Amino acid sequence: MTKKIYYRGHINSNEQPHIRATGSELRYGIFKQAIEISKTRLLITGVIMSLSFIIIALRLIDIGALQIPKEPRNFYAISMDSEKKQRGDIIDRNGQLMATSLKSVSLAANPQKINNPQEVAVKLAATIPSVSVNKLLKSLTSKNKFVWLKRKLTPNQHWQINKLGIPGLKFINSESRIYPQGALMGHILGYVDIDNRGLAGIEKTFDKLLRNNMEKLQLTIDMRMQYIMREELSNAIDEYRAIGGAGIILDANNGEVISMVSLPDFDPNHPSNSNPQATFNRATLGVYELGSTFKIFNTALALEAGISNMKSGYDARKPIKIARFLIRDFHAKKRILSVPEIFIYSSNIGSALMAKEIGTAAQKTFMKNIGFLDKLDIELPEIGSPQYPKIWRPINTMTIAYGHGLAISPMHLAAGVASMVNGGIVIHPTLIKSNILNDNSHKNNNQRIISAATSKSIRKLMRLNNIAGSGKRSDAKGYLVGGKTGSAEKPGVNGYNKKLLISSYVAAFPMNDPKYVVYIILDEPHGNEKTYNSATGGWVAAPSVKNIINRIAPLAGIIPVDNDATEIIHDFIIEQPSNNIKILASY
Amino acid sequence: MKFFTITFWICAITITGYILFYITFQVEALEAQLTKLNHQIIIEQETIHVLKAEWSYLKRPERLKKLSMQILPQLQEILTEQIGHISDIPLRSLDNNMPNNNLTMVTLQ
Repeated sequence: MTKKIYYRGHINSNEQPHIRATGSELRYGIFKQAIEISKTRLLITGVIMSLSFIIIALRLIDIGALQIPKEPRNFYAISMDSEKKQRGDIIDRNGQLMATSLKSVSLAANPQKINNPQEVAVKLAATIPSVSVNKLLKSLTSKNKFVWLKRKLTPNQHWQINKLGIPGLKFINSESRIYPQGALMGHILGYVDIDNRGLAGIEKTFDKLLRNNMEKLQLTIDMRMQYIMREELSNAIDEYRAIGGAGIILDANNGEVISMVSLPDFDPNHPSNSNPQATFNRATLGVYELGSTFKIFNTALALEAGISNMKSGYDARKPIKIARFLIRDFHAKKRILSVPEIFIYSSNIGSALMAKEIGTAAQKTFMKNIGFLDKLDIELPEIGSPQYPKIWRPINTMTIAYGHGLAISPMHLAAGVASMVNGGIVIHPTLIKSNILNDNSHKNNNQRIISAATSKSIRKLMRLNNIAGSGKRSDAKGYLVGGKTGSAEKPGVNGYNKKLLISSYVAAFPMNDPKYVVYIILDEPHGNEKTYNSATGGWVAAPSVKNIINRIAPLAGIIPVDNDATEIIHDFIIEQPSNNIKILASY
Repeated sequence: MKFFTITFWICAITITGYILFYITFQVEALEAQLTKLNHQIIIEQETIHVLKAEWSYLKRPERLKKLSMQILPQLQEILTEQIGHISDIPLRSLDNNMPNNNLTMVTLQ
């Protein structure tokens, strides 16, 4: 027993026992020792195991009872709205899609992994006709590890290349901007680069907004009217061999741009194919001396200031000599003309005399108030600065009266005319439906420029011009169109060029309560037999305005009226003092 | 008594365990289904998006004009005289022997 006790103390000891034991005693001792060892091991294992289970149990209690249930779940149902686009859509006022982003696939390759570049190039070129074999071969034999072969594959090309099963080729998913209407909206929408960054037009102005999960950006443009405008303008440019032109339809009451066309234009789907001529926006970026259409403003200013009334007369018998200039009339009547006559015969002499009475300061203030001296406040990056004399001399005042010496963009003019005919409230053109953005608050703050009575007189004069004056060819029957021609000589190196004109026509309708302003401008038109070789606004631009109004009025829901109805004629009567003739709005 | 208590608890635990696992598996199955459906919805949305783009490409005014000239060459542009208010249209006469009605018949034939 003593031996037993003795050995117990040496279980884990490697020391030799001090007392030599017999054979059987020794065997018994080893056996006991093994039992002891395993017991201890079992105990340790047991403790570790129980500790682990206690930890697990504690953790279970922690998760189950103490923590807010937020642990990750195995199944995450993909949320419904996860069709994410890099760029928002752009739609027109009726919800028609103008620009959208579609998933597209691009083809890239790792040339290191291409075994037979020659064969691959030939095969690929057969599928993608727009890329040549040589170009593909050059890319495929380059030292790089990554080369683009073709951006934006069509689904068919994608499928066919996939079918070829060439190792080393790579499909890269991306997004590409699509403009389903092609060139129709080119100048308004602008375009994006290959990485979908806006480079021009609305795409540039609202680049950030369109990227930042904006669902839809709604424009004020009506695609149908835009199409009509583009077609008619394009026909006029072809017929009169003009180098370009612009067309604008503006809501006369709130400044919404219904249509804005500048020709030549470009397809925003392929902006790189276009030349600078085509990407130049004549409607907002181009500034021109717009000629006689300015007589609308001159007359309004004279009437508003009380300098003239509808019965005043001005001596237009002789050209005016001022400084080294001579102001002449194109259709000289060589007599004393009344204000309505000055307007409808487009007398430069009469207008200049009116402006002389108005004075430089009043004219300048008026031009400033109507916005002709500042850049347009419109949502496009392509806006031109008006050009006006640094020192506003009397000669400038007189020439600006009939639209020379002050260069503005066609959009300026359309907005100005809208302000004249809508009752006298200044409007600022906009391309964005106001309910989308809230930053339109600064716009259309009801700033009055002329009185309602003056505005009414201007409407009468413009209507009269359509019946008895230079605007006859724009008279879309039933829509009470009123307008003014403008034919300005283009400034050249050696002064004004008599052969090169900027011919335009600005109209508003229906004149008893104007809804729309339509403006067409042709750059360097040439007369033909039909126009007796005249290239003036009344001949080349007015007929297009008539066609446009005839086509857009039904779309706008404007019901035609009887031009010859007594109350309508009565509404447009202009009383004239001389020999008691009434100029009636209908002949 | 002790036997019954033990049996009761064993049964209760078994049933609870069964229900728990049953519900868990059901939820997992439903979630899998939901994931699948949502995925499908996204694919459908993308398809609709592509189709919308295609549709607006197909109905661009330029193409519609060409098609109408091809398919309906007799269709003319609306003249101003053809537009009027609904009240401008006279009511149909009850008398069938009205000359106007006969005229309509003739033109229709």
